[in-house]
Amino acid sequence: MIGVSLKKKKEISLKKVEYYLDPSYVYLPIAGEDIVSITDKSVVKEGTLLGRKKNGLPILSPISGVVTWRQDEEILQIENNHEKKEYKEKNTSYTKEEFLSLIKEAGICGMGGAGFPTYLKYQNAKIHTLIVNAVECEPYITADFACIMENALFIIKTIASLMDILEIKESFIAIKAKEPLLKEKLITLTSTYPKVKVVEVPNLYPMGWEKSLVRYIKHTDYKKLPIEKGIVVSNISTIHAMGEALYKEKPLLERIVTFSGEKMKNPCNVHVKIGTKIKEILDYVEGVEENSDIIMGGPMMGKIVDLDHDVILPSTTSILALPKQNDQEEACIKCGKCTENCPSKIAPALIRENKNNPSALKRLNPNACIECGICSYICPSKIKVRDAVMEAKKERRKQ
Amino acid sequence: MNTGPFIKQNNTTGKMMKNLFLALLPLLIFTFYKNGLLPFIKGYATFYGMMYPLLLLLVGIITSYFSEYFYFRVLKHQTKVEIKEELRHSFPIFPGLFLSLIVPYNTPLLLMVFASFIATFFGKMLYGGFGHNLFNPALIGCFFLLTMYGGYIAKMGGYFNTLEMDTVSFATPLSNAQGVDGIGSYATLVAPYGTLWDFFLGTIPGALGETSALLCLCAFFFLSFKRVIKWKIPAFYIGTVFLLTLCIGKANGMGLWYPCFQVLSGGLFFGAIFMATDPVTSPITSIGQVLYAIFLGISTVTCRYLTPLPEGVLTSILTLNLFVPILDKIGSMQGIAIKKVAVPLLACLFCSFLLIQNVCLKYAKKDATDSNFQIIDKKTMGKETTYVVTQKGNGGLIKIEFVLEGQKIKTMKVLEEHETDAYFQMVMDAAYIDTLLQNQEKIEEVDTISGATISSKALKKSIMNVLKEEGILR
Ligand code: SF4
Ligand code: SF4
Repeated sequence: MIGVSLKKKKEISLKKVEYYLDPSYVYLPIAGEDIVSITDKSVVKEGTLLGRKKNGLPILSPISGVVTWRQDEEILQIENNHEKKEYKEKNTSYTKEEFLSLIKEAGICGMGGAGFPTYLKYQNAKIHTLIVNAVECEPYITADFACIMENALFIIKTIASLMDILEIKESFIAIKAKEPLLKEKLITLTSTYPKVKVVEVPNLYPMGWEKSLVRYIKHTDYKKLPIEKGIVVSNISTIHAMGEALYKEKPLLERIVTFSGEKMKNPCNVHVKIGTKIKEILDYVEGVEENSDIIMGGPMMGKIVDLDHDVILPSTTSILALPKQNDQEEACIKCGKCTENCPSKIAPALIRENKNNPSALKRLNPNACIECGICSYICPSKIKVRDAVMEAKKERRKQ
Repeated sequence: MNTGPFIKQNNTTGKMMKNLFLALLPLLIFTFYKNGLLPFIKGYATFYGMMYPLLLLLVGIITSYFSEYFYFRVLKHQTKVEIKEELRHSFPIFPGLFLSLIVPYNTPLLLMVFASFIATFFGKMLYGGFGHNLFNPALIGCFFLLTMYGGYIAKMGGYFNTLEMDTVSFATPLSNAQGVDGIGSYATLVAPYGTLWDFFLGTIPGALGETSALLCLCAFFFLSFKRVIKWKIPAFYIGTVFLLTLCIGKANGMGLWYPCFQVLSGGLFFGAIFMATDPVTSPITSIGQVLYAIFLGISTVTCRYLTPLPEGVLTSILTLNLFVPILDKIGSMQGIAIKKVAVPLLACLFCSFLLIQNVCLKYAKKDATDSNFQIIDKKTMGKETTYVVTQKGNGGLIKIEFVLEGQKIKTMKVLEEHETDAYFQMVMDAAYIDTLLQNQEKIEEVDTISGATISSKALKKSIMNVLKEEGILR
């Protein structure tokens, strides 16, 4: 198993759960090819269809209020009129086609970080194995954990329904080793579902990467997507969202986001609406200390937050405030640590060295990089190796 | 802008270098003990002689530090503050430190300055400084020192400290081995220096700091555990040398002691653990590292048997440094490409292995047929076999008659000789022939007679040759 073991630091954010479901505004970013079907200034309800993204997913209003389309900034702004909508639990049964269109119209996409439309994942060929990813291998993040703690039974029920609808033979809930609380809870609850197994995976980063999971649990490899082997991997929060769509016809409009990090004044998990400005929530949770980097996503793969513009997306797992780093880059001593630990088994140091050498890049295959960041994390000379690899990737694409 | 990751492993190049220094510390102490303190206590060295290893170390370190300073100051025109910052990231003492562990004890201080300067200035800085050099700087320095002044240093006493000069002053183990083309008995190869245990502990003559395999091994485990060095390189390097010499030893009828002797001498442990793993000059990819190590092993063994270089570690590492980019190229091939390379590569490895094997076997045969020995007559009558042979002594050929019965030589008679009378008389007086015949089962261990070495050796050799001819001795 290739990977590195990182300090988990999960306890920081586990003390509290907060709710911030009534923001004054939400903002939905609209990319160039998305279609907006609503007229400016119209009044919408929570869940109203506002348009459609180019990947087929609907753009739904997370709150009720007045829509303003700010075309120049490419965002839809909705001003909250604080009207609430209730969702009731129903019991209906679906065919595979009905199910697929349901999760499509509920706007469900991967909530573990990738944001890939879920209906595309499931519409493919025959699925025989479902792997539910509850690993959360990046430090600090506990959004999935909080989601399980609140909805464990509901999630397992959803998994069982999915297995019925899609005729999936077996499913695994992958959790990190040495999480006794989580393990016990899931094992007790799954005891009546023999086809749902709980598996512990080693406490390594990037164990939550699909390829690692499939390799560890099913002992097989695939080229591009796990569906090649009849396997689908879904994040556990995504499963929860699917359940909400299945049982309550509630679309994906909110999620749990972890606010954590050494520089976060009041670390906690927060239920928030999609589209809420990060700054607004930060103010609500008492903000961050000075001299910190505010990051969206995990400490390994996350990016610096643009406080003026960035909003919560369905794939936003966490907002972290970490101490600013001031490491100085030194010369590459060719220690080989980056290469030894690269989960894609490429040679980042060599890619960096040959950034501008197309024929060498072809051989070094930077496209296999999953941007996990291990190479930069581990480099004793504090070189930003991943950035170099990503540059090389771009270089390759151009050719 | 910071692009992440926003956490970093708690490890820096500086820490790695610190650990490396820690691992070297016991070796430094050992070299001081073995080459300084011990001769001093036993009364073979003066106080200055005792401090000499430390002096070499100091001179090496200071020179290499100032060589870098000089480089930044004169060639780069940097200010003192800038230089201070540069030197903090460039670890200027290491070339000199390593160098002082691999030079002979009798290197004059001035030459140490020379070597350390070459190592740091030419071997490291002119390539662009820390992280950019192609060759291992310390080895470059040592290489220049030995090729230019090796003879001079040898005259000064070479690798021997004052104690060793008095007690075991013939040659370092591998030079001694090379005298017999690397193939010999335990008695000729190991015994003069003690036992294999001494080889392991490092109480044998050799370069200053590299004799103790034990300490090197400890350092290996420490550094591998701390993930400072690429552990695959020493493991495969020493493994390859062991395997190859095991085969050579087996082909020549020698036991397990032979490969042990080979890996424990010539600074192989030190070279494999400290020099071959120098991160900057070794491959990055793990396949590259394994190939590098295997080729190092092959090259070292080749050097030891087929070239005048008795040790081969220094030369092999410098040579293989040159191939690191190619090895990394192979190591970084993905998927199918590697399969394409694997076959020719394995073939290449196999061929070099065969080559070494073959050549070494030829050596062995040549050694078996002593050119100074000739059979003139051989008769078999019943159980008895009579040989009449000639063996070259110091005054021409000695003609000897042997009568063998079964596996044993019954009689040995000198028929004709032209040796120097006095010497030959000494041999006869010592009843040397009887001694030889009585000890013919362990003939190799019989000492020659000092004062009449050549004559007595000729007699001994003739017996060995006859026994070999009969297939009794291998
Ligand atoms: S090269 Fe890419 S996949 Fe490999 S360690 Fe670096 S970021 Fe991860
Ligand atoms: S980890 Fe850093 S120093 Fe080591 S080889 Fe990779 S880039 Fe170079």
